[in-house]
Amino acid sequence: MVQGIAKKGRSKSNISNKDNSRLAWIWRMIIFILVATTIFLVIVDVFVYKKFVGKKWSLPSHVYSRPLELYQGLSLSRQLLEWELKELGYKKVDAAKAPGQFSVSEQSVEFFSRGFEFWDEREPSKLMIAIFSGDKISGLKDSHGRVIAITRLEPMMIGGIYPSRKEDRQLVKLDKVPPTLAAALVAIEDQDFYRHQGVSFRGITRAFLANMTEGKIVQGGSTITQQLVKNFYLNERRTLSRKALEAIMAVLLEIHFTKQEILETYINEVYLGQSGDRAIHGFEMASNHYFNQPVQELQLHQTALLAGLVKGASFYNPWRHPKRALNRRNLVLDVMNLAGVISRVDATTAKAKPLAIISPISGRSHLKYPSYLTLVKRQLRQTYKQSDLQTAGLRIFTNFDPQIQRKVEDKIAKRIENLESGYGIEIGKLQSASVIARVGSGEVVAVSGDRKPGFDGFNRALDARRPVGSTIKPAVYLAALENPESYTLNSKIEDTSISVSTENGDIWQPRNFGRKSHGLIPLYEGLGYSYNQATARLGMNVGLPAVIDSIKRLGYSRPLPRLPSLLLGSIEMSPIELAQMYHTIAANGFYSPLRAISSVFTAENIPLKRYHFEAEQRFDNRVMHLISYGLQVVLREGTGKSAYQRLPEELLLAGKTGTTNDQRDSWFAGFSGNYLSVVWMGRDDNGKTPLTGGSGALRLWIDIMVELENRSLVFQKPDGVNYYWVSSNQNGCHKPRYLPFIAGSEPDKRESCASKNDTGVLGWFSRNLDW
Amino acid sequence: MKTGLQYAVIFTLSFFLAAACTPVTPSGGRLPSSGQAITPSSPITDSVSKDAVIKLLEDAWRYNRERQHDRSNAVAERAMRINHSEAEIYLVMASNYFSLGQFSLAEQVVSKGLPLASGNKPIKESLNQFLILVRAKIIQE
Repeated sequence: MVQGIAKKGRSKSNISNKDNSRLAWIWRMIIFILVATTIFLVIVDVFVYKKFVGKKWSLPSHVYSRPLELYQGLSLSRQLLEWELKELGYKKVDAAKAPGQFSVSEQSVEFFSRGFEFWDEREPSKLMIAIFSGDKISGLKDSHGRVIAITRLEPMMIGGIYPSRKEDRQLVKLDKVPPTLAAALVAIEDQDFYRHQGVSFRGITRAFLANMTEGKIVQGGSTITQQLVKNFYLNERRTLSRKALEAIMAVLLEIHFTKQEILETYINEVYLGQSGDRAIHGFEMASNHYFNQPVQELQLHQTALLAGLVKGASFYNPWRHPKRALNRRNLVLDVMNLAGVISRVDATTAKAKPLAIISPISGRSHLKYPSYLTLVKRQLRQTYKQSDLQTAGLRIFTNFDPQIQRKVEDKIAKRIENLESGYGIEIGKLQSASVIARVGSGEVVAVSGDRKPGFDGFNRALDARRPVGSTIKPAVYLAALENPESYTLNSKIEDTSISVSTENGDIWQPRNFGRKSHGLIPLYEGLGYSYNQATARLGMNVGLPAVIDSIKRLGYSRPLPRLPSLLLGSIEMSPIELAQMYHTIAANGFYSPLRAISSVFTAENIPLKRYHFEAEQRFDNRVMHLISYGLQVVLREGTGKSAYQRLPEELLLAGKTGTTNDQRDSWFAGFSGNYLSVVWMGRDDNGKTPLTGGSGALRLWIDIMVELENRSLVFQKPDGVNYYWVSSNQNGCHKPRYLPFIAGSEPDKRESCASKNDTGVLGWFSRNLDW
Repeated sequence: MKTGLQYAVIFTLSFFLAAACTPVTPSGGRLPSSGQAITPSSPITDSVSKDAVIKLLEDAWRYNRERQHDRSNAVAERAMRINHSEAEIYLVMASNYFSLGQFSLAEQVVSKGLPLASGNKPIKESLNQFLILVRAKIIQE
C-alpha cells in the first residue's frame, strides 16, 4: 500500500516534473520566440530606417544643353525661339500667365520663363516679351515694359549617364508636386492613407470581398506604404511570408516617418513607364517623359493620367493603348470626384480633354544627340569615376547648342545625298563627321559623328582617325614664318618636283594635285593654292622637328612620326583633334582646350565644379596674323574660293582644304570670327571617292556656315606688323600685292612696289598719270 | 602738252573713277584698285549686342568687387560667348585669376585681351598696367 502510495507519489511527482519541464520548455520557447522576434524586428527596423534616411536611389547623371541667351541684336528668328520653347516643354497659349507658357504674335513672342539656378546667379521666373525685326531680336522687355539687357532660358535636358540597371529618375519634393497629383494617388491607390498605420484592415477586407465576388484577384489591399515597401525594400515575389514582412515593414516605416515623407518617397520611387531600356521612375521623370513638362506645371487631366499609370504602366501605356489609358484616367477623375477631392465640374472638364501626351519621338531628347553625349562622357571621365557618374545624380551642364546641332545634322544628310547622286557614289557609302566650336572660348557647340542624324554608334568625329592631308599645311607655314629673318609671306619657294630620302631608304616624291608644277612662288600662294611640292620643300627646309613642334603647340597631343610625308598630312587625326589645332589658329595663337562641359552640380543642386576658360599663348600674334592672311587667301582666291559664292563677301573667313591620296578623305577646317567648323568626308572602308577637300567637305562646311550667325574674324594689324605693296612674282610691279610683314622682315626696295601702290587713290594717279 | 584746265578735268574725273572702282574692305575703307580684299580690319568698335555685353561686364565687375571671383568669371564667360573680341572681358577675368592666385593664367588672359584693345585706349592701358603687375608677381613667386 505504502509502496503503492509511494509509487503513485513518484508517478505524480514524475507527471508534475514532466509538466514542469514541459512548461519550462514552453516558456523557453516563448521567450526564445519573443527574443528572436524582437531581434528580427530590430534588424528589420534598422534596415527599414537606415535605407530610408540614407541614399535612397542610385541616381543617373543628367546632361543639359547650354541655356539660350536672349538679348537685343541676337540673330534668332521667331520660329527658332518658338522651337526652343517647345523643346523645353513650354505650352503655347493665348496669353502666357504661368511659368512654362508662351504666346506668339506676328512680331513678338511673349513667354513666362521658369527660372533657373545657374552657376553665376539665379535667373528668376518672369514674364517677358521678345520683339523681332526680321530674324533678329530687336527688343526684350519685361511685363512692365522695362527693357531687359539680357536674359536666358533654362537649359534643355539632352541625355543621361545611367547605371547598368537603367532606372531613370529625377527627384522632386512633395511641395513641388501639384496637390491634385497627391490627391489623385491617395484617391485611387489608398483612400485610408492618412488614417492607417501602414496596413489598412478596411482596405484588405474590401479587397478580399471584391476578389471573392469576382472569383479572381481584381483588387489589391496594399496601402501606399506597403507598395512603397514592396518596391523599395523587397522583390516582386507574391508569397504569404513576403506579404507578412511587407506589412511589418510598412508599420515600422509609419512609426519612424511622417505621411509626407512616405508619400514623397513613393512619388519618386514608383515605376511609370519605359523608354527603350530606360525605366521611367518617379513622377518628375514621368512628367517629362509623357508631357515634356516639369510635374509642377501639370494640370488635372495630366496628373490623373500619371496617377492612373501606377497600377500598370505597360498595360495603360498611353502611346500603345490610348483608349485604355483614357478610360483609366477618367476612372481616376471619377474616383477623385467621389472622394470629394475635385468637383463634378472639374472632373467633367478634365475628362473632356485629350491625353495631351507628346509624340513618342519628340519626347526622347535623351536619344537625339548621342554624338555630343559621347564627348561629354569622355571629358567627364577625366574628373569623375564612372560609378559616380552612374549613381550620384550629377547635373551636368554643357556648351551644346541644340539649334546648331539640328542644322548641322540636317545639312550633312542633305549634302551627302546630293554628293552621292551627283558623283555617282554608291548610295550609303559616303560618311561624314563634323565638329563646331566657338572661337575664343573653345566651347564645342555641336558634334556629328555620322551621316544619320542622332546616330548612336561609331562616332567618327571623335574616333575616326584619318590622314588629314593638306589641312596640316598651316603648321608647316607657321614653322617657317616663326623665323621672320628667313621667311615672309612673300618669300619665294620652288614649286617643282622634289625627292626626299626617308630614314628607311625610301624615296618620297610628292606631287601637286593637278600634276603641274608652278615654278617659283611666294609662300602665301603655296598655302592658298595648296601646292604640295612647294610645301614639302618648305617643310624640309624648315626641318621636320620644327614642324612637329608647331603641330604639337597647335594642340595635337599624340606622338608624331618623323616622316617627311607628315608635311602633307599623312598623319591621322580625328575631326575633334584637327578642330583643336585649328582653334589655336582661330584664337590668334592661344591654345584653349576644347570644352564640352561648362559646369557640374550635385543632385541637390549644389555647385560642384566649373570648367572655366583657359588660355595659353603658343604662338606670337604677329606670326598668327600672317598665317591668318594665308588662310584667307585660301578662301578668297585659292582652293576654297567657292565659299564666297554663298557666303557674304564682307565676311572675313579663313580655312584650309585637305585631300588625301586617291581622294580617300575630304577635309575642310575653317573659321569665322566666332565659329570654327571642321568637316570630314570619306568612306568607312577607306575606299576611293571622287571628292577633293574643295568639292566635298568644303561644300558641307559652307552649308553649315551659311546657317550660323557668323561674324568676321578679328584681323587687326598687331603692333610689329606692317603692310607693304610687293610684287607677287618676278615680273615687276604690274600685279602687286598688299602683304603683311613682321617688323624687321620688310621687303627691300627692289621687292617693294610701295612707291606706286601704297597710297590708294594717289597710287592710282601715280600709276596712270604722267606728271 | 596739256593745259592746266585739262589737268584739272582729268584730275577730277580720275578721282571719282578711281574711287568708284576701288574695292570696299570690310571695315569700310578702300583698297587700291589692284589689291585683293585681304587687309587688316579696323580696331573693333562694333556695337553688336553692346547692351548685353555691358550689362554682363557690370555684373562681372560687381562680383569681382564682392570677391566672388569664380562667379565673376562665369558672367565674363557669358559675355565672351556673345562677343569674344571685347577686350574688357579679359581684363575682368585676369583680375579674377589674379585674385585667385592663378598668376600665369591671369598673364595669359591679359595677353589675349591686349591685341583686342587697340580701339579702346583706357582698357589697353589698364591691360598693360595689369600685365606689368602680373609679371612682377610671377617673378616674385
